[in-house]
Amino acid sequence: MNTVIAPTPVRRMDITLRRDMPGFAGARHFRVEPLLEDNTVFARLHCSDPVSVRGGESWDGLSLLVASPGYLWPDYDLAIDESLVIDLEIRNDEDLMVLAVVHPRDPLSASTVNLYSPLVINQRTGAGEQYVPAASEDDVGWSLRTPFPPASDD
Amino acid sequence: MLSLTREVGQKILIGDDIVITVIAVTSNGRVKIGIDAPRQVRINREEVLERIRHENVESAGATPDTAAWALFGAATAKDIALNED
Repeated sequence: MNTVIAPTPVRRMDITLRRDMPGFAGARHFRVEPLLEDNTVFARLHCSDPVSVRGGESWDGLSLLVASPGYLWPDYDLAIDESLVIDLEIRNDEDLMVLAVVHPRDPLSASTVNLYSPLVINQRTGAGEQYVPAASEDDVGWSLRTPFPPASDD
Repeated sequence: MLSLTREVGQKILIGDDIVITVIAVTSNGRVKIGIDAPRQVRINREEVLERIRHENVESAGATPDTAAWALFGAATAKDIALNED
């Protein structure tokens, strides 16, 4: 399924990842909380599980900033493995919600977004997974550290 | 770790349903491997998964605390180009 990801509103919802989020052992249950009043672009992804990172360090209250990439990159597309589509029971585009993890930087407009391996979520069921492509970043064409598109001057 | 020597075209079977085939070995030391496995078995390059782990942890570490969330969203949305269709 190679699909252009439309600007999908972010909905307040609970999601359950089918496997731990890479880097965070135990991170399965998250709440999506929209950050903007019109439910576009940005959400906070808050993990309700205690997680541990490498070295055994425990983190409580893991939070990530995520973006719905279609609002920022109109041509953003994703070749999702058929196996993931089947596993998540994604039946059509309406089921599909894609959220990309933002790496905040200073200034905020210099932040980067992981468009290479976004979270793929069935927004009908809440099941999701951080997609790890078998293909390289060069082959996929989207970077793990994609800068925000610059604002136009108008 | 189990270590096996294989030639091009030879296979290794893991359990009943995973087959690894050595497809080619190039002169610069690269090995091309074919893998047949059930669809629920995730197959990833180790260094790719490691980079994603690293980026996730760094992103979480750089993420602002609760009070700054709304501010972040509003400030950033103003500073970057949005696709408004």
